[in-house]
Parts: sequence; C-alpha cells; structure tokens
Amino acid sequence: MKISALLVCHDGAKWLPAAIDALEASTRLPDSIAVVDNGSTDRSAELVNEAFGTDPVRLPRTTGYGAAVEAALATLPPAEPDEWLWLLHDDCRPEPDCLEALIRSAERSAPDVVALGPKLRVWSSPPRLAEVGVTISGSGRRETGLEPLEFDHGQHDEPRRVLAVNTAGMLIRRETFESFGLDPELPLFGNDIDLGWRLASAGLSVQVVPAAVMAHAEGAQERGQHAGRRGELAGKQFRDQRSAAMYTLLANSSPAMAVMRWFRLLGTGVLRALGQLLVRRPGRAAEELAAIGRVHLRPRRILSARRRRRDHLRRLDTSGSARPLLAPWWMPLRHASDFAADLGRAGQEAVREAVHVRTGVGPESTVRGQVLRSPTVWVMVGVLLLSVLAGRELLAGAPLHGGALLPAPDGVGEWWSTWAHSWHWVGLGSSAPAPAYLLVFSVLGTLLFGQPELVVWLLFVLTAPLAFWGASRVLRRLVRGRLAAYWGAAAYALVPIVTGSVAQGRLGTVAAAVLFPWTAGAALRLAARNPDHRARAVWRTALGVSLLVLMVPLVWVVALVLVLASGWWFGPRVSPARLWPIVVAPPVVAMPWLLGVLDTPAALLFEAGSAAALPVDPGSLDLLAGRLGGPGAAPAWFGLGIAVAAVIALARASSRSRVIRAWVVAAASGLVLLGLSRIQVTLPGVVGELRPSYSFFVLLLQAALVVAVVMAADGALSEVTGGSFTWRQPLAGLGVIAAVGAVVLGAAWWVSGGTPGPLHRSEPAVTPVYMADLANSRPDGATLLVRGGPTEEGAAPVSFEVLRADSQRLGDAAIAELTPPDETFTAMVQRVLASDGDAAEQLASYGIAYVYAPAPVSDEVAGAFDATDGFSQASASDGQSRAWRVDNTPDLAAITVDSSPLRPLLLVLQVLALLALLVLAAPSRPAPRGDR
Amino acid sequence: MRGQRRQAAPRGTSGSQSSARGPLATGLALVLVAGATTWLAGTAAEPERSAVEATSPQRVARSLSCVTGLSGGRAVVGSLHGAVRSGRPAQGGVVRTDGDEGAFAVQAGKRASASVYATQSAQRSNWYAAQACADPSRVQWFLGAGGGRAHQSTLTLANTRSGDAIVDVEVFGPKGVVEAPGLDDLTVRASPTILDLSEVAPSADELSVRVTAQRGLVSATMVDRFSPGALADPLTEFIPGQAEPATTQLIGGMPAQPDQVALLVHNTGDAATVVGVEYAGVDGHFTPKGLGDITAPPGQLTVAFLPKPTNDGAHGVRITTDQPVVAGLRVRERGDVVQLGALAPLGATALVGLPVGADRTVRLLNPDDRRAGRARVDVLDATGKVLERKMVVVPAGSVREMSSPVLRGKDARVVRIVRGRDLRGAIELRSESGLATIPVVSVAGETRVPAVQPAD
Repeated sequence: MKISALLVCHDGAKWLPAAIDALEASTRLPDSIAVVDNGSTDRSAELVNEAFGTDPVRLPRTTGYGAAVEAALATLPPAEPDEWLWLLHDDCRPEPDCLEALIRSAERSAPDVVALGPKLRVWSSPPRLAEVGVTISGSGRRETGLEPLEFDHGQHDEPRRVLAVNTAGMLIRRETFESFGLDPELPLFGNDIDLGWRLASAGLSVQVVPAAVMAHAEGAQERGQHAGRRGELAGKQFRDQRSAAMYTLLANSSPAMAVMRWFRLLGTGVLRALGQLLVRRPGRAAEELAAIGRVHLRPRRILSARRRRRDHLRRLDTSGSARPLLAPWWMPLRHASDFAADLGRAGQEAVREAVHVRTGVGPESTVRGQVLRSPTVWVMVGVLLLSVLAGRELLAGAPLHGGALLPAPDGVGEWWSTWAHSWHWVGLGSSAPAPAYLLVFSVLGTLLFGQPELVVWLLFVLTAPLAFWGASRVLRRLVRGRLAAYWGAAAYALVPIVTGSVAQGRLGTVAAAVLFPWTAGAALRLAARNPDHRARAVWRTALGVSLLVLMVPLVWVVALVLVLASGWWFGPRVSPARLWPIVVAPPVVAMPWLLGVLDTPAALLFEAGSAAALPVDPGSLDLLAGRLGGPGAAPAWFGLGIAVAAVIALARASSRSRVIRAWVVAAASGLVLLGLSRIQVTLPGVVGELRPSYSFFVLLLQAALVVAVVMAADGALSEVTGGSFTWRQPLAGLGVIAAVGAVVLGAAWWVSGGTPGPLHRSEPAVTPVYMADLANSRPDGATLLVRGGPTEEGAAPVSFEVLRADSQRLGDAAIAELTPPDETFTAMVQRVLASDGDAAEQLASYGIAYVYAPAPVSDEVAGAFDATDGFSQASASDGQSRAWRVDNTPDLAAITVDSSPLRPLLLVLQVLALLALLVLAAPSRPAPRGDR
Repeated sequence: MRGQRRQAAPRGTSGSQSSARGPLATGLALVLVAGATTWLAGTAAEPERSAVEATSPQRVARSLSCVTGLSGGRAVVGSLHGAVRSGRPAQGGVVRTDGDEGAFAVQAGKRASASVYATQSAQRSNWYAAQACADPSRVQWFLGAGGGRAHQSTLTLANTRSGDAIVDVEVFGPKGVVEAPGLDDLTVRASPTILDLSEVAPSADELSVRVTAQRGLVSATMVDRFSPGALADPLTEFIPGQAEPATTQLIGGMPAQPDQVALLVHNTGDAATVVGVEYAGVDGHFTPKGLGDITAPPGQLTVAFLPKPTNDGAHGVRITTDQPVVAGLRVRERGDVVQLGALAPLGATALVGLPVGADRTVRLLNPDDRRAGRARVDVLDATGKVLERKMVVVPAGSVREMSSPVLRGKDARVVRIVRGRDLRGAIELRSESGLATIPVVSVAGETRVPAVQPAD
C-alpha cells in the first residue's frame, strides 16, 4: 500500500511546527508528500521548506480546499494500483501511530470501504473529542454525535461506518478521490460531508478508525475571521457553513426530498434569523439570510450539482444510499430540548445569583433554600396575602369592571382584532385609532392562556404585590438597610389603593404604578460605571418609558425632562445625546395610535381607561394627601403622614442632598398638577369639557415623598441614638410616627374595607340576552340603548348608545371618545322622541335591530317609541325596563366603512420597535465562538 | 459579599460626601413649591360636563281628531301659517260634522303645526256643546262620564298613525274600579273605535275614565249625554280630557252665576285627601260659604256639589289637595250643562278656533296670588289678519274678561293669546240653545321633547 500525503497550508504557522513534528514522529511515514500553500502571509511556506526541503506549491489565497488538494495531487506521480491519499491540514497533529492504525484498518476493511478517518481531538485540550465521524441533520447541522467538549474515555472507540470523516486526516483511495474529488462549490466548509454522501450514494463506505488519533485545531474558523476582514475567501464563515450545509442537502437528496428540504430550509432559515435577532445577534441573522439567498436564489447552482452527481453515478454504474447514515429526523428536536434544558439551568443559576445578591444568602444554597431564607420573599408573601384578603370580593366571578375600567372581552382575539383593524364596530362605527396599549395587553392575554380577564385581574387585584415587588427592588438599590426599603415599598404599594385609583378602575394609573418602579430602577443605572450596563440601562429605560407612555401618554414629557436634566442629575458620565432612545422609542411604539390622534391632540392628555367615566374634582387637601377625589379613596388625613415625614426628612443633613432630589421630583409633579388643573379640553366623543388625567402625577408625587422618607430613614436610627439628646430625636420620632402611621392606617383601611367604589364584578350586559347575542354575532344586530329623559326624580337629557356587542369592552372607550357624534343619527333619535316620521326605517339602516331602555324608563321616552311607527314592543329583562324591535330589517346602508391602508405598516413598525426594545434591553450574553 | 454590597449600596446617585449636606433652605423652598402648587391644583373649578338642557323645543307635525255624528255638528278648521288637511271637506274653513258617528283628522305639517286650530261644536234647541278637537296623547282622564240610561257617555278613540295602537281603558266610580271587560289592550286601528260606556261599563254612578296608550298614540273624545229629568230632553256635552293629576288645579270657564256646580275629583294618590276649594272671581279668590269638608278617597271618583258663588260671581274654582288628583266641574246654567276641566298655562302663545254662531267672551284667570299677569289678546280672521288686539292685565288671583263686537262678529275665527305665560284662559260661547266653554290651550305645535345626546 502506497501512502501519499497531501498537506494544505494557509496561514498555519501557529500550528505547522507541531504538525510537522508529529508527522515526522509517525511510526509509519507516508511514502511521498505534496505540500500546497494557499497564499499564506505568515511563515507557513518557510516552515514547509525547512521541514521538507522544498517549497510548497503556491496558490492564490482565494483557492478553495478542494482546488488546493487537486493542485497537490497534480504534483504526484501517476497513481499506483493500491495507492491511498492521506489528506492533512496545517492545523492537525497526528499521534505517532495514527497513520499506521488507519492503514491497518484499511487493509482489514471490506473492499467497499474507500475512505477512513481518525478520531479527532481538540488541539488545545487533547482529552476532549472533536469528531469521531460526522453526518448531517435535515436542518443542515453538522452532527458529530458528541456532547460539547466531551472527554475521550474510549467511549467512541468502536470502528464503524459513518457518512463522512473530516478531511483532516482522511485516508482515501487515490483512484476514488480522483473519481469523486471535492466539489469546487464547497471551497472550505462541508466538502467532507458532501464527499461522504456521494460515496455512500455510489455504494461505497467511509469508516472512522478511533484507534487512529489526531488533534485538530479547526483553524479555519480563526483564519476565516481574519480573511473576512480582508474581503477574501472565508469572510463570513457562518454564512458559508450554512450555505454549504444547505447546498449539500439539496445537491444530494432524492428529488422529492430535495424539494421538501428546499422549503424546509427556507422556512427554518427565516425562523433562525428571527431567533438570532431576538438574542441580539443581528450579524448572525444577516448571515443566515445571506446563506438562504445564496442557495435559494441560485437554483441553477443546485440543479447543476445534482446533474453532475447523477451523471457521475451513471458513469460508475453503481448505486447505494446515504439515508441510514444521515442523522435521524428527530435530531433537531433533541437539540431544541437540550437548549430548553440549558435555558432552565441558566435561569435557575440566574435566580440563585439574584437571590444571593438581594438577600445575602449564600450562593451555595439551593434555590429553594435561598428563597425560603429571603426576607424579601416573606414580605412579598405577606403583601400578597393582604391583597387577596382585601380583594376578597374581586377574586372571582363575573367580569371585573367599574369606574374608568370597562370589562375585558371574553377572548383575547377581540383585543387582537381591535388592535389590528383600522375600522371598529364601536357605536355607529369608527375609524378612530385603537389604543396602542392593546398590543401589550393582547400579548399578555395570549400568554395568560388567552384569558384577557386575567390581565385585568392581575393589575387590579394584585396591584399592591406587583407595585411592592418593583418598589422594593429599586429602593434596595438606593439604600443600605432593609427596613427603610420595605417601608418605602409598602407605602408605595399602597399609593394606587389609598388614592382610589384601583377602586375607580383607573387602568392607566394602576398599570403605571406597577411599571414605574422598574423604569425608575433602569433609569438609576443610566450612570452605571460599566459602559455595557449604561447602554443596557438606556434601552431598558426606553422600554419602560414606552410601556408607561402607552398607558399614560404624558409620561413622555417626564422622560423628556429626565433626558434634558440627565447631565445635572447623573453627572458628567451621562450625556443627554446618548439617551435619545428614551425620547424617541415611546412615540415609535405608540405610532399606530399617535398618528391617529394628531387631529385630536387632547387625547394625549388622557390615560388608558374611560376618560369620561369619573368626575374629576379633587380638593386641595385630597391632592396634598395623595387622593384623587371621587369614590373609593382612603380618608385624606391618613395620607398626610407621608408628606409630614418627607418634610421632616430634610432635617437629616447627611442625606439631605438626596432628599432634596426627591423633593425636586415632588415639586415638578406639583407644577404639572397645577398646570393640568387649569386645562379643560374636549374630546370628540364626550359631551362637555374634561380635565386631563392627573392621577399619574399624584402617584409620582407620592412616590417622590416616599423616596425622600426612605433616604432619610436609612441609617437614621444609629445616628439618632448615637448622639446626645437634641431637638433631632423628638423630630425623628415624629417623622417615624407619621410615616409608619400612614402606612399602617392605610393598610388597615384597605384590608378591613376591601375594595370599595365603582370597581366590582358583575355581568356587563345591560340588554336582554337575546339582544346581546344578536349584537355579538353581527354588526347589523345592534341595540340602541336609551337612558334618561324626564322621570319623577327630575328631567335629564336622553342619552343613547349604540351597542354592537353586549357591552363596550376594554379598549372600546378610547375609540368611542375619539369618535365625533353623528349629528344625523342624533337628530334621528330626537325625531323618534318627537314621535315623528320614518325614524325606524332610518335606524335600521344603521344596523339597529332593537331599542332598549333600562329602568327607570321615562314615560316620555317610552311613549315616544310606543307611538312612533316602525317599532314593536319586545321583551325586556324586567318589568321596569322597556324594549322595542325595529320592524325594518336592519342593514348597514347608512354606514361607510373607512379603512386605513397605512395601518398594517404602522402595526409592523410598532411590533418591530417593541421587539427591538426587548432585545436591546435583554441582559448581555457572551458572543458565540464564531462571532469573536 | 454582604460587606461588598454594603459598600456599593447607594447606587444610582452621584455626588461626594461634602455635597451631600445640601442647603436646608433649598429643601424648604421645594417643599413650599410642591405644597403650594398641589394646593392650588385642588382649587380648580370643575369642568362643565354637560351643557345640554334636559329638553329642547321641537316643532312636530300634528293631527287633531274631531268627532262626527253630533246634532248640528260643525268644526272650524284652519291654520294661521301653512295649509292643513282635513279628513272631511271644508268650506270656508267650516266642516259639517253631523251624520254618521265617527271621527276625522285635521292634519298639519311642521310649518302649520304651531298655528293649526280645529274646534268642534254641536247644538240642538236646548243645548250647545263645543270643544277643541283632540290632540293625540298618551294618557287622558275624563271625569263625570256616565254608564247608564239617564247619563250615558261615548268615548271615541281615533288613531291617526299608520300602525295599530294598543290602549287600556280603565273606568272608576265612587266605589273604585268599575269592571269593564275587554277594555284592556284594546287595539285601535285606522278607523275610530267608539265605546258606549253604558254597554262596556254599565253603571248608574258618576264615572271617571282613564285612557292610556300602551303603544302608539290615540286621540280620545268623550261625548256625554245627560238627562236632567225624566221628561226633559237629554243634553249633550263634551267632557274635556285632562292629562296629568296634580295637587293644585284651577278649573276655569264657569259662568258667573251658575245654577248648580258639581265638583268632580278623582284621587289618583294612595291615600285619602281633603280637597280645598276656592272660587276665583273678579275680586280674587274666596271660599264658598257653607262649604263643608270634601274628602276624596284614593282611587275613586268623588262628586261634591258646591254652594253657588256669591259676590260678583266666579269664573273658576281652585282646588288644593295633598294627593295628586284629577278634577273637573259640571256646571248647569239655564237648562244647559257645561263640563269643565283644569286649565293649563297659556305659555308663550295659545290659540283657539272660534265656532260660528255664538257669542264669545274671553276670560283670563291668574292663579298667582302675588303678581299680576298680562297677556296680549289677538282676534284674527280666517286669513290670519288681526282684527283686534288688546292688552289685558289680570290682577293677582283674579279674573278678567274681554268681550267686544269684533270678538262676537262673524269674521272672528281665531283668538290668539300671546305671552300669557302662567295665566289660564277660557272662552265662553253662548248661543240661543245653551252654553259652552272652550279652554284656551298653549300651542302644542312646538313642544319640548327630551334633549338627545350620545352617551359618554
């Protein structure tokens, strides 16, 4: 048996000396050796010359591996009958008996075994395995059957047939190689698998010989990185690896399988690109897409490769199948499950680390042990129990609604639909924009098993624990002691409750109360020392502000002030110019709604929820004590304690500058409150004037006061008790009593009284079931709901509402408020009340099938519908209410559906903006090996 | 780790230890700003949420219903502005209404609705009757009807709309509800429904009748036939319909010196009530001498005969109760009988058509005991031309009348009272055969209907 070694070098000076030494130490030397250098710029050629006494064949740097081997082969004498080629890379180091073991195995193997390969180990860590034969999965992944960096304990030492062996160390019959060759379309990656596949298709075999061992540095990856920078052959190695794998699969599969794989690779490739984007690897995503483009946009290349293979097999007149040697179909699933398990383990580690950092409980404890020993966890559990106790009447039952909160729809599909469409069947129909927060609510509702009610439940029943969680986290960052932070978190968690926000169903404020601490926590890290942390803090703050803006648009002004004042607030480390995402991201995320309200800028002044549902008339004492006015708020004097304690907090000199910062926020909030109180605006769909939503700024003011107290309270005990008795001790005592008293009284009021006020659980439908069912099923089955008119209690205008479902649902109010009334329709109802004309026929043209007047019904209203032609009495829910059927068949002839072609683009922009924020705000992860 | 954490704890802030001791004055100034702005924010005025009035005036088309089949029946129909359509042919604005028993409609569009008039009259040798043709209404009361042979009433229900109307007719007597089978959910179609109370609710007692439209609207007219004696010819009179019970009412249009005055009170409340009675005369209100206590039990019709008015006579009766009641008078004078109901305020403009062939006297009553009232009385011809115009001042609690050759003349077709406001008005019609009184009613063509607005 004659052995001719072919060594290909390319910038391999780093490994070449060791490789040459190992070659020279072999127990069986090759009979001849041909060396090729692919334009190395290092000392590779020189080293070859020194070792073998002759210059290598010099080829351009862009020469592929296959072409290089062909060039080396051309320097050899003509083939002999039993001549084998030993392919060597400049980064492979054979064990002394490697070639001998390969030859021995070749001699003993069946005649169809035409190629053999050694067991490859990791160059830098020889006990670890690199490859013991390879195959390919349906997704194009190179499968070695090894765990990452698996140690070699001899567990893979059974010689076996494989699809392919690495070209590094491959021993192959010369005549076979000259017949099959390496595909020039695969210059660097994947040519070994392609060769093995073609051999198998011809009925030939490849065998791995574990007794032959070789270390391999896989230097192509490193070389590829550098080459890429110079725009040379292997510039984008991930792209090249992926395109080579796809090429191999499509060129060698059976025709039917090739078609199927063409589509599969296209779909999975796009998904993989999206996945790479989600883990903030846009370069990888681009390479994945580029690989798809190289393969899928050049079908001729594939067809040509398939034709060559078919013709070659025809010439050889042999056949076989690689199928048994390919990776099983479930291999990608196994990788997915392994990935999920890795994620779980990583999450567990992250929790363990987080608990350790927050609680000081040692990282050596188990997660359960850490959780059980964490005081934060126990305080959280306490707040959760109090919430459940206080919200006992709201825990389960009919939908939760009342005040500014409309009931959630029955299915999350309604939210998705409202978000996605530009035309809404609300009232008489509307093209007003759906609120932008519906996207977030839709996602949450989908994640919560498709139950939108759960989103509302979480926000309104678990307001306090959620607010406490965020507040305790951010306050623990601000102060050293736990006690002050816990007090502050408890005081903050009570704010949305004692102000009346929860009881009044103020969706925007309640959601903002939950989101705000997380956003503030992110903003506090804008001045972090680590640049990566600073960058991450910018995106996290932008994400938090964006979500807040969706709920309370005026928060954008706060963000703008924060950015403009960042230099003063955070010091020179933070440049306002770097904070642009905090100002730019919210409008982009809110774009579908924002563009729709440009002609109604007053809408920017209102938070999520029904703007007109609650009277807005808080007194001065209410606002000072953090009360919104209206029903469901705790007695005002409870809340004065926090304000008193915040003033006393200024007395402590050591913390005064930080307390002053909190008071700056409080004063700014007061100024905004004052400004908002002097503004009266109108919304197209609301009768009369409205004052802008102000409750978020009451929340902000209260949060600032709480922070002021926490700042001063932290460490104050030792300072007060350590000194001699002065006026400071009684003052500190008064502050403690005021602060603790406010929280204790607020909590006692909350738990004892439950959640009073408009928020309640009840069936939202006001119309009889048959009307609601009809209205839910079709837009031309609407009900005209009529209330008011002169009664024994007094005279009130008749108000009407067109229900195209059993009731308005969360999100509908924002649309209705932006929809100007249809004067024609109003006049028509007026005419009915005057018992005039053909109003019933016209009502039917708006898709109205029934008229319903819930008790108490004005005699004049009832009499009018009784008296007007075209209305027949229908059954009402009770004896006091009245109902009429519109005799004409309803249709939608009078309504012109108006859709915006721009909306899909805006929705895509919103989704992409949110995804980008999520990705950029996610924790940093080490770059994968290939990206280094 | 704890130690490390403690050192790194105050994160997210900057500034050296020396700058931590910020000036107290700055802090207190901020407290002042925060407190003052928050306080001032709470002093803002509450926004106006609704500027919409509860009702708004609406001009609506009207359809008045006149009955037919009365002896010597005529109806004066017309409008000061715009045309009206009469269900029976009119000649010179006069429609013959004798003949078959039934009803016809006088229809006015929106333009004419504020000035349409239709007054029906009938007479025989010993009686004279007149009444404005009926406006559709949801609820109407009729007091002093009869369901016997000597005192028999006929209720005519006319539906002037295209759809069917559903009506409940309830009959009450001195002992409460009178059984009247078949009068619930009565369907009134395009042709009028005529109910003879002696057939549908036979009773020898005085009756009160409530007509309630459950669906649609109907015009109800009650014609009463009354035999003053066994051998005397029966008298015919319209019983005026009344809408709403009230606790204070002014019943007007009474001749100054009636032969007999019967007060009819139907207590619609749920407790008995004492009925306070005062006559309204030229010199003001006065209590009839010798009048005993009148108590009206709930849910019943109470009939009480009042002493004749003294002094210079009276033209009205003011009653006060502590329960809502419907009240009326049946007055006899010189062999004829007149049925009177409570008068409604004249409002901005009131209008009444004048039947031909009778002397007319306009009487204005002021129910206000403290302030005088004034009104402009116009007498117009059939073309709307003003024949006579006079300002009438009515002292507090008093009555004034207007009578003139122009008013009595044959060209006078309409009396229009402008800016009468809270005054009440009635026109006494006196012919050779007898006496009738027509209340002057506010123009109903423009009515206040509930204002409409979209719900928030």
